[in-house]
Amino acid sequence: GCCPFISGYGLGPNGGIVTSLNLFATRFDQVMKFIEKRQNASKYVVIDTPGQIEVFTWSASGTIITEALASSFPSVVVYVMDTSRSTNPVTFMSNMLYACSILYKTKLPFIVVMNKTDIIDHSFALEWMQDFETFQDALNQETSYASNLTRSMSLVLDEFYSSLKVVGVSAVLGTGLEEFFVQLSKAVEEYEREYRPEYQRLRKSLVSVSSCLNPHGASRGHFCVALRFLSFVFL
Amino acid sequence: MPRYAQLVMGPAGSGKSTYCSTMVQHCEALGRAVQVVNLDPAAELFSYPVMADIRELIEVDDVMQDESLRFGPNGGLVFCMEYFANNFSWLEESLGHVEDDYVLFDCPGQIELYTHLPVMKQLVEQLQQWEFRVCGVFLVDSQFMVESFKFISGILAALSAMVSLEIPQINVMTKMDLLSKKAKKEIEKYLDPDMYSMIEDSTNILRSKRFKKLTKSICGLIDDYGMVRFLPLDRSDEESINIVLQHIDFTIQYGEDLEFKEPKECEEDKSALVDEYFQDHVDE
Repeated sequence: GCCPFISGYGLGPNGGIVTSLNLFATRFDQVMKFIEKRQNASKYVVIDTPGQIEVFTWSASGTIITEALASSFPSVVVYVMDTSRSTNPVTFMSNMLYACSILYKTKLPFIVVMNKTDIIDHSFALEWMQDFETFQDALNQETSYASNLTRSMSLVLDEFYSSLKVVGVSAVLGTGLEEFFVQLSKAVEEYEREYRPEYQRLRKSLVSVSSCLNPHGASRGHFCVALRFLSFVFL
Repeated sequence: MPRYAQLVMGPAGSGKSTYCSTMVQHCEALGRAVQVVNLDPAAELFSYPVMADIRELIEVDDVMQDESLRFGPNGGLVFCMEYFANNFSWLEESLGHVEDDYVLFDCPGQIELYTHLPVMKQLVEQLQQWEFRVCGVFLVDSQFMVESFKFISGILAALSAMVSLEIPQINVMTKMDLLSKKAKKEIEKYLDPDMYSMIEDSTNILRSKRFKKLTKSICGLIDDYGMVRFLPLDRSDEESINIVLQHIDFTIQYGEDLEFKEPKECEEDKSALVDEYFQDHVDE
């Protein structure tokens, strides 16, 4: 954990998390080696990112880690949402805009996991994503703030949704996980089809990381790395 | 008389505290009194005096050490902010009752506080009840925006915060003084009014048809709505600081008693001022 950094170096909690991540990034070649060694033992590697998303997405370390992984293994972003905290259309929109921001940051196949469906079913969210007008109605009832702008943003999000995979799960109960793995497989196929060529090219330019990689490149199909972004942490 | 507030937000490392101290110094030179309130329970040291500090109310370290709560740094921060939202009387006392106040609120970076908790929205509403005119100032480190898709990412993050707070918002790219000439030229492209025709993913990773459509619709949004754009901030350049300040002041009608203009009407003003900034620096 990052607690030794907080007390030992006199850093605040923010600095502690960022410093931990930075140090971790400098050692990341070891993580890459570890993953490679385990390729035959595990089909999936789940990377849990810091609870403060922006520490990962808006930092050099986060970028280094993401690119190192994505240029070597089929990688997929898994954006976990707390469904029970997304029932307000304004909050939902804000959350989805942020998810879209991460898509452009990471440039990888994207799966939105609506977690905690044991508390509330995610069908309201699916409806909002499939039917623009339903969402607009809900939004208009909630707020009139900059209504032209928010309407235009809803249209942007509509495009975003067509590039997403969405799954409702309850991590606590274990429901929805079969569907998740189905979507994950599709995401891996998407990576192979659409992202791999460019990431191969990127890989060649990542000199410092590539020196420790398997010279024959990542094995195809059956191995993938899922980057899990926890959009809300409640300990 | 109204009071004025800037909510200074942005990811960790974007330069919020530096922005606050820069603004304070700049305003002092103009003969304006500006106060700062630190609302980041996880902040470290800062070099300027503050009017109030949330750590006087509650500290993340204390929360983390509390055995009955058992929070890590994330849960601890969330807990602190929720505690703060339940104790606005502390803030009221700290702010006092001075009229014509101009206060910068240095806010925490966690995006979850804007997207998943009502805390920041509650703060806005409370400030408005105390007759503050509130403007959001969203900072992003310009070094993370030097590439078309990263730039779009920054815009979307800013929009994410803006939508949840429902206040006017000015977006600022910080640390322009740390960019190379080449990087500055790159960024200048994205501030061009006809940007969408120039947006191309330099790595060609998101090249499929559906991403082209998504990218185009985002760029259309940026073109249509001036308020979603970013202003450059170079803290070594007084003019740059002044441009940012003017935009914010205009948005909250500081010093004037004008009717609030629709954002689209500010388009030309904003482009002209931004062009002015780049004009001075492009030939260096």
